[in-house]
Amino acid sequence: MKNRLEALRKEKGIRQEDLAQALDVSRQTIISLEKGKYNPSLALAFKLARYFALPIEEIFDDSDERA
Amino acid sequence: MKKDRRFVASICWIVIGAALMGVSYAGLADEYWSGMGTALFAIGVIQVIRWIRYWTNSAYKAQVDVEAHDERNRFISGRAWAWAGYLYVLVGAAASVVLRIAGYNEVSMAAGMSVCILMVLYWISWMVLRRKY
Repeated sequence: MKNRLEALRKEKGIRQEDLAQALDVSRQTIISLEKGKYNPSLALAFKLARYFALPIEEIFDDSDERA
Repeated sequence: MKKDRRFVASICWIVIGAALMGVSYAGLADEYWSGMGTALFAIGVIQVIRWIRYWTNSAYKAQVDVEAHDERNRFISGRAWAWAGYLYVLVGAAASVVLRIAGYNEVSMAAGMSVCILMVLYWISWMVLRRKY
């Protein structure tokens, strides 16, 4: 699934380490999420949405899954 | 609490390992038990060293805690177990046939049985998990 995590993180000027710490996950998880190699659990998706104060749909794009 | 229990388990591995090595060196058991004792002893010592590092090094503790609860790590662990199960069935079944053709009937039977046991365990796990989820 595609996502805008990297762009959102850079917009906020946050390092991957800091985002990982805030979400209680490893930095490698953030890297994999940004590359679209790993889809987060619903719980982590909600955490990300709350962190960036955005709806989940504005962070993740599931158009590929719907096609 | 859970970590304390794991530490106690590590100490138990050391004690059991040392006991097995002692019994073996006294000539009361064969080298199989000596080997198992050495392995348990080594595992116990390594785990105790890791626990001591965990309790004395805050950076290491934070890293271990994050790694242990990281959802991607758990996902990968689950997938790795699934792959290991699939591979075991494939390799075990192939080995069973090859060993039978080669005339190693008992080993072939053991390989076939181990694959069957794994399949039964998979089926039981599937039934249990189906009720849970």
